[in-house]
Amino acid sequence: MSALIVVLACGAVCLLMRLGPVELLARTQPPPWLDRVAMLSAPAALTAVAVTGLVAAAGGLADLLPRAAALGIAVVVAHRTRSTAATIGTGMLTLWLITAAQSMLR
Amino acid sequence: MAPLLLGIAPYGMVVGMTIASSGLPTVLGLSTGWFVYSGAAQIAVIQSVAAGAAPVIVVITVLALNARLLLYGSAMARPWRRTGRGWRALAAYLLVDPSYAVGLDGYEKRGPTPVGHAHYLGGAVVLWLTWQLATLVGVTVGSVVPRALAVEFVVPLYLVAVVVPKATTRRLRMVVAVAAGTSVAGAALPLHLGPTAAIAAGLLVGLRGGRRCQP
Repeated sequence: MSALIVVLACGAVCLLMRLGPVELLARTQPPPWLDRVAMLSAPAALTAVAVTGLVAAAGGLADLLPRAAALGIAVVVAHRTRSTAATIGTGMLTLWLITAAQSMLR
Repeated sequence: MAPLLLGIAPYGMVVGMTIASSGLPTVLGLSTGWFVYSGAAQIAVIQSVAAGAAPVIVVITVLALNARLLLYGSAMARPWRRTGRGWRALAAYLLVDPSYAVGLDGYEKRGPTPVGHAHYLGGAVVLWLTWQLATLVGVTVGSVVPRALAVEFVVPLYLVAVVVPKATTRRLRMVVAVAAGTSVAGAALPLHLGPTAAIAAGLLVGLRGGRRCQP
């Protein structure tokens, strides 16, 4: 029940963020600082979500290393190709290959 | 419109897989799509609630993740000025990255006319339906795929695919690097404070860095 309340609260916050400016700023420009914060918040937030998920999903160092290596390769692929499919495909393939190699060495 | 649908469907599936692997009740996970309706924020809410984070931390994280919605709302204020309050509420609820793009395109070509409004709302509803369906597929697939395949790893990979091509300036790369480093360092923080600390650190460095150097 309390988890549902948290989800509802987050939904209310999101609706307020979407609808609030529509109702309040209909005749004025947003302040410049809001523009800067909005520009920077997406990469900061998405990175935080990605890295936190990576660390949380890995039970220990043995799990973390293959994931970190796969993520590193995915960063290079994303930078070079700008392709979502190539980034995800290469990252997953790298993770599976390293994990399989780890299993064979044990 | 079709490329946008193809673009959001995999992300919706990723959110579904996150729900399936989170241990939360499926309906609760799916309800994030109905109430929050924002991919990264949904993932953050699902992960944070599953980890037992304090509610205030979850809400702050959602605020930080969706700060850009304030800008989207500001941009749509003008074309939506002469519409009814109910229409604006529905249109605002459906406002996400791809629907914003659809709306901008429509209003650019047709202006704030009934046709322009229909273009936005029609596109936004199709995007919403596609998102919910893709999430449902992700939940189903995520619960039958073996854990050894580590499908949840698709989430950070997808976020890498989104963030890296956009980090085109020195300032943005600095923001990403600081947010990543703080996330690792803050993984042990209580109340799931790590992501919030990472976002704050990234923003701080980005805003301060912007005063000293050009992007």
